[in-house]
Amino acid sequence: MRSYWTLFRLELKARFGARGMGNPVFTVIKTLIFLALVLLVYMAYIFGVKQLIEMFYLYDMSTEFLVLFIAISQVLLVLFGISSVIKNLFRSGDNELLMRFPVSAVSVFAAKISIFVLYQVIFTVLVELPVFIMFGITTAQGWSYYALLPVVLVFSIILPLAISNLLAIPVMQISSRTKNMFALSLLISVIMVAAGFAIYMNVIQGVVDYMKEEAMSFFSKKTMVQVSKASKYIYPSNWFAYMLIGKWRLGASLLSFLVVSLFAGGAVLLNKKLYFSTILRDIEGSGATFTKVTKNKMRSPMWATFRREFLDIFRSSNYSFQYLCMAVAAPVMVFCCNRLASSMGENTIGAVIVPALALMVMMIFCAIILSFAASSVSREGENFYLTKIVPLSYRTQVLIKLALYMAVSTLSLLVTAVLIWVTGQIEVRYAFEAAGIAFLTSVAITCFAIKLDIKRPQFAVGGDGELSVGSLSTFVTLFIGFTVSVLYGLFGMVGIFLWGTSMTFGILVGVSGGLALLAALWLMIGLNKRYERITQR
Amino acid sequence: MKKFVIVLLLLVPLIVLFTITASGMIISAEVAIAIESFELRHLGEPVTEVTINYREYSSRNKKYQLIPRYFPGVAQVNGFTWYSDNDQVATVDKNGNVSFHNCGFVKITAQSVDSVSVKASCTFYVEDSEIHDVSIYSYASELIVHRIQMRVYETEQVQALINPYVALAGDPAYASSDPAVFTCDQNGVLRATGEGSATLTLLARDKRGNTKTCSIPIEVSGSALVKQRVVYAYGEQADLTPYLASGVVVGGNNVDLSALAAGEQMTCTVRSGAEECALTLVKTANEHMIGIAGSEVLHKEGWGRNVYLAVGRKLHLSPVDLITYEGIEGVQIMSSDPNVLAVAESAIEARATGKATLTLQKEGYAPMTIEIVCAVPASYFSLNLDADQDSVGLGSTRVYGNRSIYDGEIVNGIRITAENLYPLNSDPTLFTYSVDSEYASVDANGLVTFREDAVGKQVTVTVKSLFSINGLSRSYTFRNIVKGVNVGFGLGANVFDEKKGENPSFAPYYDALRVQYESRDTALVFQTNVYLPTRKQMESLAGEYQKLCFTRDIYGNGYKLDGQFYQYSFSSSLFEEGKDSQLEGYEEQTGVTISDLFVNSYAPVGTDSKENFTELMRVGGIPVHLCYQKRGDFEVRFRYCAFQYAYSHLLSSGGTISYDGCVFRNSSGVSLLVQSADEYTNSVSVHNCIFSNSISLTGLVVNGGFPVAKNAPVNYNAFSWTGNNYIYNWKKTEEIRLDIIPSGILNDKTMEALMTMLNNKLNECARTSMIGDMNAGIKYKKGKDTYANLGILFIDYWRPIHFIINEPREKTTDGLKLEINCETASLVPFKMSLVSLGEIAKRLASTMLDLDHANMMLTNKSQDGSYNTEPGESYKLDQKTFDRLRGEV
Repeated sequence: MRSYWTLFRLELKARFGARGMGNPVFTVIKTLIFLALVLLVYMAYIFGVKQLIEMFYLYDMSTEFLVLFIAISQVLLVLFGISSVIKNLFRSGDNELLMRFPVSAVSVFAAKISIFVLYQVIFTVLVELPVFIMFGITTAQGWSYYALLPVVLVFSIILPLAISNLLAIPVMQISSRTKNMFALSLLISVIMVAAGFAIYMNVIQGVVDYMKEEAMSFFSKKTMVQVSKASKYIYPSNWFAYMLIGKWRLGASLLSFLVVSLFAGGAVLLNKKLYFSTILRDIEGSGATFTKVTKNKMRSPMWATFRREFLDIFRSSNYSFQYLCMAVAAPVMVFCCNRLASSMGENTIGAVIVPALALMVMMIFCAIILSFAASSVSREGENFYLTKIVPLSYRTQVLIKLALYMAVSTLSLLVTAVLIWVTGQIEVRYAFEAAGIAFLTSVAITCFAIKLDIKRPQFAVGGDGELSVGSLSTFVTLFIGFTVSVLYGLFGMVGIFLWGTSMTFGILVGVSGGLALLAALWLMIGLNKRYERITQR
Repeated sequence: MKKFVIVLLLLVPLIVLFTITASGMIISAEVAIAIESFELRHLGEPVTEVTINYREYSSRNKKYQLIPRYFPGVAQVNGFTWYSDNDQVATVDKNGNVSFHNCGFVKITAQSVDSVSVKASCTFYVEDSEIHDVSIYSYASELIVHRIQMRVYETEQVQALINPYVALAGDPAYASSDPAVFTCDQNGVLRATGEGSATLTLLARDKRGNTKTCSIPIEVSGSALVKQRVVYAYGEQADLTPYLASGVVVGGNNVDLSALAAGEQMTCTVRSGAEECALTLVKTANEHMIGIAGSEVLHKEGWGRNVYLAVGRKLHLSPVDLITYEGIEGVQIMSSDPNVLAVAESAIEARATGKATLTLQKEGYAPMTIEIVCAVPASYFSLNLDADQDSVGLGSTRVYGNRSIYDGEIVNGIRITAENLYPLNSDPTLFTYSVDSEYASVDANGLVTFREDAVGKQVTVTVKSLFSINGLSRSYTFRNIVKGVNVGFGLGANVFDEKKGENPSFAPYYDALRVQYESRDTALVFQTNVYLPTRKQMESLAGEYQKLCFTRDIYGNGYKLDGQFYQYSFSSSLFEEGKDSQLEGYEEQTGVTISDLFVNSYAPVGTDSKENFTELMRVGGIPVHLCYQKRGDFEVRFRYCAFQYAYSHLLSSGGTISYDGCVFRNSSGVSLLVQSADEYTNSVSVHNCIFSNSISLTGLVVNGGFPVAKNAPVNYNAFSWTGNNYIYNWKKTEEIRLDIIPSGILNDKTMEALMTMLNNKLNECARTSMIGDMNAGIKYKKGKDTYANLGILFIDYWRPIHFIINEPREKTTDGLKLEINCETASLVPFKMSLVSLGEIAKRLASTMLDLDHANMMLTNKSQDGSYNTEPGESYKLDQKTFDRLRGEV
């Protein structure tokens, strides 16, 4: 037991303790910004869910809502749970160390799983509990609903935890086999991000339509009937819901308890039997990432640098997600976001502003993608010194990075323009004009981001050498990118209304061209000197 | 960083929505667009009539939310006022949430705060499976009764009014507390049997098994003259003595029937002292005939000639010998179609809509056969003409022509029809129509025909639902009948919604042309928005009547005459140009009145952008152009009209034109142009009008034409500015424009370029003229900015203006006669600084304009230097504005 508490404290320190790295002021600011954004999203979530509850209630689908909500929460918890279990229980960086300590595997497991349970509790209290309470108030539930709420919450914590534990080992085995399939990983990420975003947009659209006209827009009448039917068969979420609302309460309670006990028992047994051996096997097999021997090829310094830059991003799950995944998924996300924006914009102002909306949405996604450029130098990490000795000038190296970013974002913009044109969201002329303006602004933002990073690089020299946390330059770039996008959007919409699309886009082209030129000049003038001054501390 | 990116992705739609909202606010602040119409929606669907389950709402304290979706979507909407026409059934809060309090029928109406004539309604039929209340309705008085007075031998039928009727299970039961006073059968037929007082109790059972009762006292005193009103007799003679309670039959109690054929009837008069009553005597073909007891009172229920029976209703039949009026046992009752009319024991029940033949037969008796129409009567309906919608336009008065055009045919009268029938499968033919006035008549189909002298009279039409469960009737009063043809009935508002890709019907326009062509001395009365078809469609029309002329009165009823499909050049007009040739054959006519019409020259309201104003400057057209040369006295009176979206709203070169209570807004050039040619008289009067949002001047008054004949006499304009006129044409002094030389009127490109250059230079001069102490009388300081309210500019264009202000003028050649209300308006000098004009432009300008001395501007500056409008101030089409337009401030 003592070793458990010691390990638990260690886990807490590892996660929440002070790192003693970087600028503490920046860390605090960054954390505050992150918390503020999370708070904003959380408020939007609470507001949105309240609307959804009212909407389902109005359409006499309250039970269906509860079943769906519990089911979705459970699925999300299971998905995140599997990832967390693998990361924290089986592939935790300190496993190798802990196995050498005089502590039992059970204590290690218990300490790690406690942290995981803590996360689950926080998630459940913050995400699920308010929804259950809002549901209870809206649908005027009696005392028994609130009395049984803690039981359902406990079930909601244990069940996904147990399922995650059960699924973690097979998933681990699959992921070990696909570890080097970078394209596949990227594809899966893109599909998940695009699909998740599309669903999110549909939900937002539903909430917006409901607020506007109380219309149920994301379910057709036919789908509503199907959802209603299907919700009766979503086990065990329907039992949890029935327990709460008093529909077949006794039976639902017994079955819920049985299911939760069964999965929890299974998870305990499995971990007891396989936890230690799985960790050991994973540690032993972790070095065998690349087994295929490839020949050395002679490439020109420029092409080799370009290729290395690309592969660095492509082969890192972090970088790949932040950049390539976003760039590839951007057309779909812009399409979905534009659809929502157009419907809202058309109804509030008029169809005439749709080109400006499309431009704004394109630019927002460009800003997200290109914020990655703000770590172009920092990402070199402990290999930075190599950039000073490669047979290429600093300027050329920076231009190669710039070219890579622009190539990807331009391709993304072109695909986006074609998509929104082909799907009839806007006319071809406006689609490509918007893409052109977004391109010019992208040049400006990229140059600006690279310059920021050159001025104040932040090299990651520990761990796996990846820069997994955002630098100040990244946040500044994001802020500037978002601000410019919103300003362009505001100016575009108002301008189109007052002066027409041609003139407004004409002005924006001029401004963007000017910005691009200024940013390029700012980057290029004195680049070699500035780069020379960069040192790795 | 991954988490951060995910959080950002989640925030993206919120940022987008925020930006759209912010843009909308900026745009709304920039351009004021008024609401034109709206519909009520619930759960995203448009609703006009809804059936509500009361229990579903009351048990959950649920409300029904109505959300207005307005047109155009960019309109500045400051809210709606909501009201219910039956607070006992439902009330509505300020957000459109309807709360139901009882079963019944209720109409909820929303009215725009910004424009009081813009309304929409939704009717609710509130039902329940439980009976809420019962009452007793008397067929005799056609009212809900709380006591009934009868005389002995009298009969009367009552009916149970069940709210809601759909909750009723089985038949309502009637009972008499004392059969010695009155009896009551299951059809609700009361028969007074003796003097005294007793109670009639009605008991109804609902589908939930609950019962509701209603009791009323029945007081019987005195006696009727006859024991029954209808007597059947066989043979050549009939002795009526047994049927008399007192008195005698005039002509003797023994009546000769020999003159009557079998089945025919006669009416006898029974007299006792001063009292008289009628007794109907029917000659039968047989000695023994089957009849139904109480059938004479059941006529009102639907028997007799009107053999209707409401679906769901049951009637208990008591077969009698018609001659002796004694009950007959063992009568066989049959229905030709039991699905429509079912027979159960001695009762019949209408099961479905349709016809069925009912036969009562027994050996030894002549059978009785009757065809019964089973139909669903309406227990609720509204009329296609609604008094609630009569407060239309700036004049707030709806006008009707005494004739109408339906499907391209002009018919004498107006059709009044029942709408929103409840139940939904109600028979639309089961209505009666009546009028209260000798000036009109109405036929069985609801066509109201007015007599020639009905003009100016009031006529009320009453429509009654036959055999309904609540005897509902509705009335509509025609308050303003004119000699004219109604155009556009049945098309609703005929809204054009470009965003939804919905085009309006052009039928009203073609109908209006047809009326103009076929009927010379009749007014046009619009009952919907009228849109001009496209230019191509217009040009494909044969004949000479392609546009509306000012040869008859036009009553707009607040609807639009919209030329957005047609206006394509500066010189194009919405109406046919007013010329003498049009008045041939109208010599006796001294003028026409255009009332309550919205004249919309070009651009759709939904895209009220500066881009469109630029477009208006190029192609907006001038909807009204009057140039009566010989008939200068012919007066075109615009009353309570609104002019919007044109280059200029009116160009007057000759004739007499008056504006009373009109609104002029959104013009891309000078709002009013008064430009008489030398030889024509031209008189314009403006009274209680509002002018707003003109890109340049409110008006321009000039005299003479080009080329100028030497020493030729000039007929000067007359311009009158009376009452209280309001100008909302405030411009920052550095932004003012005059645009006194419009572009697009010359075919010569070089001249056109020169004129454009000159115009721009003059605009520049006007702005320069506002710097320093120059034109101090026009300038108005507010905050840090200096403004000018650009009114009517009188400028020496071709000819110098000689003002004759508020003085009599002997001849039109003496000078411009100006009549102004000096209390609320001022004529202030406006001097142009010519520094920035340049030599070429100066020379060009001097050929037509005299800019060396101060010209005069008429504006709404009162004697004390104050204005009745403020920079940045706007107005709504609300009651305050209506009062201003009527001069009732």
